[in-house]
Amino acid sequence: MHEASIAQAIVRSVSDVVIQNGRSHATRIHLQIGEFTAVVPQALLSSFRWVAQGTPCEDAALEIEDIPIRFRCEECQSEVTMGEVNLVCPNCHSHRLRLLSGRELLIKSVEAE
Amino acid sequence: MEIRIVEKILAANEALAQENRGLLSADGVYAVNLMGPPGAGKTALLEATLQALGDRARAAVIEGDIATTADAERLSRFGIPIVQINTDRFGGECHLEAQMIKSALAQIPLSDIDLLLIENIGNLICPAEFDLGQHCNVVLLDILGGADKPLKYPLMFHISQALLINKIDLLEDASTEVALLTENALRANPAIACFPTSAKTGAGVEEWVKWLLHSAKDTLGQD
Repeated sequence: MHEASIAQAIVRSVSDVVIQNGRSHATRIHLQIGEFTAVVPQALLSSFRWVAQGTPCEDAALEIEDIPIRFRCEECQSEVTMGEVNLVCPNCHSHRLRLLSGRELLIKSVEAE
Repeated sequence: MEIRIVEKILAANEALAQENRGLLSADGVYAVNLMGPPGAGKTALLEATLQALGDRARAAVIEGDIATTADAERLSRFGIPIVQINTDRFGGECHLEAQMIKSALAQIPLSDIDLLLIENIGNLICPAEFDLGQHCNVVLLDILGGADKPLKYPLMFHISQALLINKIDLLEDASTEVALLTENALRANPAIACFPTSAKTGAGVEEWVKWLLHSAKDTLGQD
């Protein structure tokens, strides 16, 4: 599905960075993937292996850090971690919840040689 | 060597999307990204919308499908600019991306239109992650397609400003299903505006069109 698109974007960015830093290949790529994104880490891993072939990323280990879905209630300031998304504060029942984390699709760092 | 990047994976798509949005806003064009599962009635709803719009807004359509020009052909009777994007040419993507919209915009006389309706690929998952440069996201469901859709695909409803509950003509009394779907959608997005519609009979389309025109005015600050 679209994990191939995501994998391609990662390979492009990381390959650029590796070359810009005078290295030839990436050995490890650290990603943060939020749980409130359309990306399934397992599917991304499979797509990445396939898409990275023949690029400076082909031997890179993909490390994926899962970021949980957290909201802060603007009314009572309590913070909620959600498995299932239900935008009502469990404390005061307000709907005024601000997203703190869970929408990340980030390349945090790369190890290269 | 460790290189700290901290870059969004979709930075390139986001940059293009911002460019697209800039182009559209500069020409006073309000762009809507219409998403939803296959078969829920997106193209039919677009037909009903264009019919109901009349001369209240000059519209154009970008039609996204993996293959075929069937949907664009259905809309051709309105005599408006239509660009068909077939993603099988880009590798068979199951969602539209900003680069595709950028190419399509080059084929539309933006200074001659007020409203751009983008019909995304039928899919409740992937399109939610790809900014195209639109001003507004709308998700369309079929009233008989399962009231738990917003619970199964919360991201799509979280990022959308409106939900169209289509094919209400299939039920003698749609109120229970509409209420349930609405309740579930509000869990993912307490601010989502819900519109029961029938693209077939036209029921509910005028309310949706009024909301659309009002949103356009609010966002772009003009008539």
